[in-house]
Parts: sequence; structure tokens; C-alpha cells
Amino acid sequence: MNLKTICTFMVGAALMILMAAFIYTPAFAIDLPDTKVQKMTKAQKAAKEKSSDPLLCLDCHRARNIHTNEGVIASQAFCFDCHKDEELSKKKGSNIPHEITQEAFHANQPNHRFIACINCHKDVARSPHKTTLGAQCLDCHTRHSESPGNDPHSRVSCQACHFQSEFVELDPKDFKVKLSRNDYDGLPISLSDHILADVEDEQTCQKCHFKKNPVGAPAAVLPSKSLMCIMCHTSPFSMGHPLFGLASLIFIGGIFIMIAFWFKGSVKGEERSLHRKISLSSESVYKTIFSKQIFSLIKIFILDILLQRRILQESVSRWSMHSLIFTAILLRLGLSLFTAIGFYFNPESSLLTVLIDKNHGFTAFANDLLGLFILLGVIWAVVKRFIVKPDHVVSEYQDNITLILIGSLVVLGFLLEGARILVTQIPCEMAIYSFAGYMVSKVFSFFPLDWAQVYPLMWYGHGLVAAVFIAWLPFGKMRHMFNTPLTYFIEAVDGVKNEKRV
Amino acid sequence: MEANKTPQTFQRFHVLHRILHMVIILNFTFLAISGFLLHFSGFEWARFVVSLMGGAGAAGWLHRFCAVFLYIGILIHVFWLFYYKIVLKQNFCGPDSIVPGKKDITDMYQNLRYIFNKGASPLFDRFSYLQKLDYWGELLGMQSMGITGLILWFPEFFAGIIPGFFINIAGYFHFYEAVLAVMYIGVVHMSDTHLAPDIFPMEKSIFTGKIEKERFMEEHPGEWKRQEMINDETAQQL
Amino acid sequence: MQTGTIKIKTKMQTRWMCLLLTSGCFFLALLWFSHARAGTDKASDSTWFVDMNNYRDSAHGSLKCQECHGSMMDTQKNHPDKKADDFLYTQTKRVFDYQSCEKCHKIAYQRYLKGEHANAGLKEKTSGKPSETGYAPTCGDCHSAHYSKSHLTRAQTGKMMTETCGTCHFEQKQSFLANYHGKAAVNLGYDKAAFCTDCHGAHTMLSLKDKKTALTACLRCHFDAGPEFANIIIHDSNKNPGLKNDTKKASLKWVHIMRALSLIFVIAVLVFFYMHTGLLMIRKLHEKLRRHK
Repeated sequence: MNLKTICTFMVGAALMILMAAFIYTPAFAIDLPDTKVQKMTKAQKAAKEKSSDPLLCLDCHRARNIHTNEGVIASQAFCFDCHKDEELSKKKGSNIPHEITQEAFHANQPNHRFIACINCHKDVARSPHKTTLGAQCLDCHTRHSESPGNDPHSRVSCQACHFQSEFVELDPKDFKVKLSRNDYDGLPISLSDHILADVEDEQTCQKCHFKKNPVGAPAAVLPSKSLMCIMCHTSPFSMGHPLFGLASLIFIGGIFIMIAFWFKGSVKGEERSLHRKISLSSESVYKTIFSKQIFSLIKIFILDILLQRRILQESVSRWSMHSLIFTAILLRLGLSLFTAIGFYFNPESSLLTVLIDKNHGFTAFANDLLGLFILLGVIWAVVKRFIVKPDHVVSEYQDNITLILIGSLVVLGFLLEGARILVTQIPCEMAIYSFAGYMVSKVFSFFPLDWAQVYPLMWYGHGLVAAVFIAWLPFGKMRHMFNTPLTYFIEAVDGVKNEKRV
Repeated sequence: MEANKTPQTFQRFHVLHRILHMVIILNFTFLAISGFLLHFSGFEWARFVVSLMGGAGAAGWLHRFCAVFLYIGILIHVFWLFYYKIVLKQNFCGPDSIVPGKKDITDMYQNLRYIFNKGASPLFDRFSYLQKLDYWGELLGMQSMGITGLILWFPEFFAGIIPGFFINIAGYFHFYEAVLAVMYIGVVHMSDTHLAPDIFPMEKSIFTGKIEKERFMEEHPGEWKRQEMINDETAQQL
Repeated sequence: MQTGTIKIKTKMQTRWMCLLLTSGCFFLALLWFSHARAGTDKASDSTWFVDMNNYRDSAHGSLKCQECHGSMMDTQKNHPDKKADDFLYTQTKRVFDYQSCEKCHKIAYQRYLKGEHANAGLKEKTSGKPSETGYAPTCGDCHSAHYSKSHLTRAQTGKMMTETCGTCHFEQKQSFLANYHGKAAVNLGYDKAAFCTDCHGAHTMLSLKDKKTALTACLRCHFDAGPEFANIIIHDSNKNPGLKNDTKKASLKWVHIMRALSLIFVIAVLVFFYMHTGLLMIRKLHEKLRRHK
């Protein structure tokens, strides 16, 4: 053992300890500033007894500084003074108490112990004593992105999932799914216990996702999207369903096989050692990237790859057809990448909230339009191949598989969108922006199926085709996505220095 | 381009027209900016730009000032048409004229065929139909912009002549036509004069007044043929 | 093919600048919109708690609680009176006696009594219940007693006024902001343009349905306005047509028809020429690429 090895071991061990220390945080109890509560209640007791020392207006009516713990506890004490009492917390003419004690609240919402009631229930501390806003979660918390509450859930209020109450309703005013104040028999219920639900548990999801649910949710709990969906949809950085994981594995494997195939030839005279081949070619890639040549490569990337110059050179109609498919997918990829990455960094941004919301006018319109472009391109290609049949078009079976896959993917996507619009019962003025999906939903509405049950099936269909498509990418015709740009780059570099050969 | 020696050039635009074009560019830009700033004043950036211009009052003044200047430019164009007919004794229906004629319709049909790969590009004369459209669109569009603008400028006077709600209509016309003008000039005219692959990055003849022989032959073949017939050497027309 | 062999000259720096600028733009785009969402923060200022910091800075900051609210000792009632019938159901703004404002704000109070809001209040008293649009507003519905700032500029007052009036007269606020007056006045802070009260009267709140009253309002700024001038529609939205007289309703229809027509015209022209240019450019590019093969 030399010094180097020992050093490496020691640094590694130190790192491991450091990491473990970060992960492990021991639980420790917090002492509430009990004294303050006592003081406050004492003051209010004094008010009841009408003691000789009269209360001043501002003893109660001063707005407390709820950015300090003392202020929060004092502010909470004002509310709990009535709400701890079962009788007092009843609404007039109703038997449901809105009862909550400080102890119960602290036990049920340990993370909100030092948050004043009026911090979330912003508009209740007034007369008449009622709220129009409800509790505001998003003032402090950021909206979560695609996974696992994927974007149809942007029309679901936070409490509907995160609170332990099994009754939900669709608010006809702003079209959001909210916790209901009545149970399914119409009897009022109290939500005052503030108990949080375990959102990791699938049972929590099933309070909406069951057959014949009143809020327009699909009848089954669907898995979240996968990272591989990012080609067309904003997606989380996760694998989702195991099927998607399998497809991604095959995809990565295929990429490796493809790269291995590239390295079959000789690299700068080196015939045998793979290690030498890789080091030589990566050396030349490195040299190319950090040289002036990168600019010519950028130019090629923009002109030949993004704008498809060489296809335009061959034929305008071929270019139009290919661009319809390619550019539309590219734009959707760009949009979803921007949304996914942007949301990761700045979830508060209203722009990204718009982009993640499928029902928002812009997002719905852009997605529908680009989807339609892809479909149009596919139809054009099919017409060219099977109906017009010009001499130079040779239709291989691989092309046909590609067209079938992309075509069915897009068609299923539109059907799925129609079904989604139908199931979630989005009103016309909101759904009209996804014009194609809205028309599909109108057609669907003629069929008396239970679309909430059909939707999961269609979803799995779309997911399956997507998985097959992704898995097939590095093997079939779509391999040209990687090969053609690479060929262009190598051509460009070779034109200058004739060095890199793979 | 291919030739190494300086290319042979021909006079294409008169000094007057070159100056007028620059006047119109300048005023049109300022008008568009100050006008749309008012329309989009709900946005923070618009307020910022307006404050840079010296507040709403100054921006409004600039809008009216530029409008008057632009309209003077347009008037000179109209006078030029009369001068062209009466003093220069040219024919409005001739091939050199900016006035649209029968050939433009056949040209357009031919060009559409060319776009869909059904035939060759048409032989344009001195002005192609798109250039004529630019010209007349501007000339006529600015009349209606001018009238609606005047109505909005002096509503007290115009309310004495026309019904009151016409002023509301004038407001909408003024806005939508501004959108049309900016979107048309910004995309169609700009791609004709900047993006077209033979011209990229910029068509300079409206600023220099001169056109190179190569481009002359390529873009105005009709005029080139006549030019050759009249005179083989550099002909100074206009 | 020799497409990629382009000699790079001394334009390196400009290119790096471009690269930096684009990446900067990307991050700016991410950050730009993050301030836009702040709407729910201010719910209602009439809560049980008085923010003393803001109160001290307000126009009434020097007043003591009793000067407006009276002493709780006088009423000989419990406060809070949990046994009372309307405990937690009191409509503070309906119960409070706003005649105490008259003590200091005499002229404003007299003007208020003459106007439409007070008229609505009288109707409410005789019928005993609020109209379908809600209670008739009194002082407290528009003015915050605790937090109203003093010494505001005309543009500042006007901006706040538009918001305040707009909470009930939402359509009017929207159409005012779509009009030249609203854009210049509220959005750009141009204090020569008219705000709500400049036409409808401060505290008087005239309806301006009557043409003569409307013309008097116009004449405050437009000195040469003739009788037809009052037919110009400021609040030109289609909603709340009941607030307009018949000639305005008829002419409003025409305004919207002409607006729709011009929009259709613009879209038709643009679609045709955009397609024409787009296809022409692609065809020309194709030809050029062919020539350079």
C-alpha cells in the first residue's frame, strides 16, 4: 500500500461519514413557549371576569407580528380561545363543531406548529366570520411539478389530496377539485381536525380515482409519466411504470450497441484495442470541441440538422413532409425540456405554471397544433408511399413500422386528449383551445361508454406504443436521428483535418 | 458575387424615393412603437419604455409628430405620381409603372405555379407584384390610418360631423390596421428584402439607388430585356 | 461535399457575446415571470386585528380608537358578546355608524348623500333588504378607515380608485382600462387623462345614463364637445347592457360588428401573405441550394 491508496481510502471514508451525517438527523423535542400561551389566556380570562384592570382595545385587536414565535402563539391563542370549545365553535344552526385545540393542532400538523392560523386562513379574522379564499398553501409552498401529481392535478386544490377527508367535489365556479364540506349524503362535515393524509399511500388517490366518481377522475390510479416521455410531454425526472423502465433500458442498450458498431472499424490506424480506439476518438472529439471548428459544427447543427438544409436541397415536398414531423417533435421537446428544467429551478414562475397546465389556452393550442403537424406529416408520407408512389421512393418495411408507430402514437394521443376532456368535464370555453382534442371529445360524447374506465385503457395503450417506440429507436429506421447528424459532423471535420475516423 | 471586378450597376431609384423611404422607415418605426406601447401599457415593460420616452404625454406627442411627418411623405409620393404622369409624360399602364396592371395577375398566377413546382419563375418587370403591393398597401393603408388617426386626434370636431360611436369604430380600425401593417411589413416585406436567399442579408438598392447587373437580370428580367433593346451601355433612367 | 469548411475569422468575440447573451436570455426568461403571482396576499383589510405600523402611517393615524368607535364602557355590553344573536355574524360595515365620518368630512358626506350610491342606500332602507348586486356602499366600502394614506398624487389616487370601483363595477373597470382614458391614466400614470371620478363625480357618483349629464362631464376636458360627443362609448363592453341607454346599445352593436369584420380582414390578409411568402422562400432556398451543389 502506497501513500496514494491510503489517502484515497481516508478521503473516501471521510466523505461517507459526511454523507451519512447529512442523511441522519435525530429527532428532538421542541419546547413550546408555553408561558406566552398562559399569559394570553390569562388576559382573556381577565376580560371575561371583568376584573378591575380593564382591557384596552389593542390588547386583543393589535395585529401580532406573526413572523416571531411569540406573535404566532399569541395570534393562535386568540383563535383557540373560541375554537377549543365544542359549543362555541359550532356554526349557527348546525351541529358540526369546528373544534380544534392547540394540542391537537400541534399533534396533527407538527410542521405548522409555529404558523399562525391567519397566516393560511387569511380572510377569516373578520366579521362576519367566514372565508371566501380558503386556506392558502401556495403562499409558502411551491406547486409541485409533473410527478407524481401530474398536470391534470393542476386543477386539484392542495387540500383535496393532502388532507385526510374522503369527500371531494368539483367546484362549478372555478372548476377545481376541492375537499367537500359535505359528505356524499349531503350532510355537513367538519374539516377542523387538520389531519394530513399520507400521499405516498395509493388509498389517498382512490378517494377520487374510483368508478363513477363525482369529480371526473379516471377510474384507476395511473402511473406518472416517465423521463422518456419528454420527447413530447413535460415529464418528471423519474422512471414511472416498470414498462417504461424496461423500454428505457432497451433504449440505452441499443445506444451502446450502436456505439459499439461505430467502433468496429479502425480509429486512426488502431485496429484492435477498444480502449485505444475510445481514447483516440475522444481525444479528437475533445480537440474539435475546443477549437475554432466548433463554430462550423454549430453552423452545421443549425442549418443541416435543425433546418434540414440538405433535404431541402433534394426536394421541397420531402423537406416539408420531414419538417412537419421533425420540427414539431423538436418544438415539443424544446417546450417540455424548458418546462421541466425551468420548473425544477423556479416553480413559482407563472410562465411555467402556464406551460405545465394542459388546459391553459397557449399550452393546449401549441400541443394540439404541433401534434396535428406530426399527424399531417405522417399522412403525407403514407400518401406518398402507398398512393402516389414516385419512382425514387423505396418503401422498406422499417419505414412502414416507423410510420405506424409515430402515427398510432399521435392518433392515440389525440384520442386520449379527447377522452381526458370528456372525463374531466372541462367547460367548452376552457377546452376549445385544444381544438382537435375538443372535437374528439365531442365525437366521444355520442358513445355511451363509461369513459372514466376507458381512459386508463387508452392511457396504457398510448404508453405501450410510446415504450415500444422508444425501445425501437436505436434499432430501426429512427436510428438516423443519431447517425445522420454524426455523419454530417464527421464530414465537416474531415473536410478540415481528415483525422477522426469512426 | 462571382465576378472579381466591381459589378456593373444600374440606377434603380431616384434620390427623392430613397429619402422618402428612409423618412417612412423612421416614422413608421416610431409610430408603431409609441402606438403599441399605449395598447400594451398594462405590461410593466411597456410602462418602462414609456417612462424612457418621457412619459405618456411625450409618447403621445411623438406619435402625432411622426404621423404628420409620415403623412407628408405619403403626400409627396402621391404628388410624384402626378408628376410622373403630367411632367414626365409617362404611361400609368406601361411596364415601368408602379400602377398594377393585367400583367401582375398573370405574374401572380405564374408565381404560384412556380411555388408549387409547376413552372418557371415569372419574368418580372421593373416592379414585381409583391413590390407593387407593398407600395399600394402602404399608400392606401396610410390614408385610412390617417383618417382614423385624425378622428381620434380631434374627436370634438369629428363628433360634430359623424355619429359619436364612429369614433369607437375608428379606434378599433386604427388598432387593427396598425397590427396588419406591422405584421405585414415585419414579416412579408422583411423576408422579401432580407431573408430571400439571393438577397440575404439585405437589399441595398433602396438606399444606394443602384442595382447590380446580375441581380437586375435575375429579378427584373422584363425590364432588363427592354433596357438591352434601348441601349446596351449603362442607361440612366429616371 | 465541402459544406463544413468555413474559415473562422476574427469574429470570435462577437460569437461569444452572442452565446452569452442567448444563455442570459434563457435564464432571464425563467426568472422574468416569477413576480407576477402576488394577488392573494391582501385579502381584506377589515379584520379583527389592526396593523399598528400601517395605521400610524395612515391619514387617521393620530386618532385614538374611541374617537370613532366610542368607548366600550358606554354600551354596558360584553365585548366580545358570545351570547349575542349576531355574534360572529355582524356585518361590520353595515353596523358601523358612518355618520361619525361627517364630523370631519362634511363636504364629502353631503356630496355622497346626493349621489347614486346614497340613492341605492335609501332604496335598501325602504325595502329592507339588499338589491341583487349587494349592499349599497357606504364610506367603509370604498375607503379603508385604518389604512388610507394621505397626500397621494393624482395618478396614485386614480390607480387605487380604479381598483376600488372595479371590485363592484368589474366590467366598467375592464372597459375603462381598454379605453384610451384608462390606458393613459391608470397604466401610464398620465394625470391629465380622466379617472373614474373625473366623469362620475367625486363622492357624487352620477350614472351618466342621461346624455346631458354625460356631456357636462365630457366638457370638463373637451371644451369644444358638441351634443353628439356624448354618444362616444367609453365603457364599450357587451356585459351589463342594462346600464346603457338605447342609442348606445344600438351603436355598440355596430361597433362590435365592425371590430369583428376588421379582425377577420386582418387575419385573412395575413394568413394569405404569410403562406405565400413562406412557400416562396422555401422554393427559392431549394433552388439556391441546388445551384450550389
